[in-house]
Amino acid sequence: MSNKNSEKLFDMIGEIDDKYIEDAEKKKKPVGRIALSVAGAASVVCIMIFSPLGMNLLGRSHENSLPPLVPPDTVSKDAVTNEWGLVVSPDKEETDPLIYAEIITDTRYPADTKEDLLPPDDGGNVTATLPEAPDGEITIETAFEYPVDTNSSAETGKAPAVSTYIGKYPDTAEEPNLTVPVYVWYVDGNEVISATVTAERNTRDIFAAWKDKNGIGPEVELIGVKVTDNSKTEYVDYGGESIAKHTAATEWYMTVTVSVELENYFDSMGKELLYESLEKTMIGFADKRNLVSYELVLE
Amino acid sequence: MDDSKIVDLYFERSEDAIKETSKKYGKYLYSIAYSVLSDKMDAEESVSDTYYEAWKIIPPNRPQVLKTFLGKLTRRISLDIYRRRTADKRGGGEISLVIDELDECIPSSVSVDSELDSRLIKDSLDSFLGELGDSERKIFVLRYWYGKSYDEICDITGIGASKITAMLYRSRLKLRTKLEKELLL
Repeated sequence: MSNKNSEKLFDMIGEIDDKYIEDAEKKKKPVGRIALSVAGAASVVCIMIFSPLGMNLLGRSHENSLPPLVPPDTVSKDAVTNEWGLVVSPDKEETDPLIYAEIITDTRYPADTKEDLLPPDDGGNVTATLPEAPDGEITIETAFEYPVDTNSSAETGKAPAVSTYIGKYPDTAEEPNLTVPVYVWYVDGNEVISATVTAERNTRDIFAAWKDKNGIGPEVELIGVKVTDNSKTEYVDYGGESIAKHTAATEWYMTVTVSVELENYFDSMGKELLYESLEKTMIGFADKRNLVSYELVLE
Repeated sequence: MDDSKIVDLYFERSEDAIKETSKKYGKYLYSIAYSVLSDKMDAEESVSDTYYEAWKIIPPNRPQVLKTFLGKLTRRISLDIYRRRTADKRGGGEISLVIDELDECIPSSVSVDSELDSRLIKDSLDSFLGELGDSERKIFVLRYWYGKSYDEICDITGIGASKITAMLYRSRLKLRTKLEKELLL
């Protein structure tokens, strides 16, 4: 039987009723966990974190490998309620999925008022709201919890391993900027070379980093970046229901528009080199393969 | 953030729509894409394309269940990338095994190129899944919707690999029997 037919069947299976897709995702709790109550497990893990035994266990690797210790993705303070919101998303790419996500603790509070175990949402993230924080630094402790090995006979009461990240967060109403390392290309004499800088991953900040590296002043502005492609979505009526049929893009086109003041730098830096450095930076930022055309417009 | 509020952001054309979508469903969509593509860069591309596509089609569409709406988009886009990649003679991975298994499900007299047969197959799939037991259905969807490996299905369900193999084989036969009965009427 042709593989094309089975590919199409695989495609059609994609359109089954939503309820079957959602139900399939629900995970079965391992036998070891069910034996412990939520409060009991929280106590076990809290004791583990703060006891000498716990401190010894923290350094030991578990047979289901622990994820790397990562800080929470976002920490922000709501200006209205004065509550700290926390979202933690452990790196699960290389590890087994978590059955429970983490305990959120705050070292300002005694152990018996700590939060219960918080399960992750469907995206694997845990969101918690902590009580009002005083001004200044606070320390937030997060712990990841893993199931006992489900392929062996689980011992009731065996404490799961934890990994702990302890982070200090400043008292700020702003969300911390999520900056990433990016490549910026700049003119150095007769060549164009790259440097790694940290910037927020958007066109405005990448362009600002490019200007900074090339010594270009504020009079040169990024007017716009337009990326278009040849993808298409068609809607087919099927039994009264509209079904989308999507064709992914195979070609991308990028147009970058910059203010005409860039011409003031052509003599000192070389027009071709300057253009080359900007193109490499913007294409690198866009991270798009199958880029068919790039165009720079000055206006 | 609640799904309805996220959808409202799309209708308001606020860029926070993508940010909130990514925060809530980014990892879920990535896991779907990675199951199909087995490649980090391709999976990231698929998820980016999903956000872009969602931005284009919401509005006018207002998804009833945002998660599965996005999941289906990602799955479709990932399959497009997979097809492009196999045309370039690259890739393979778990998903090629998943697709090969589905060979057993299509009766030889059926052509899925025929629009009539395609419509009937889509109708039959939901009815087929409704007739399966809970575990059978869950395992079928994990394998053929999510593209999960046998090991991953074991971890999620707690069922041993040989039992999963047997259940999937029986489910594929049941699907073939159902399609033969319904399409040859």
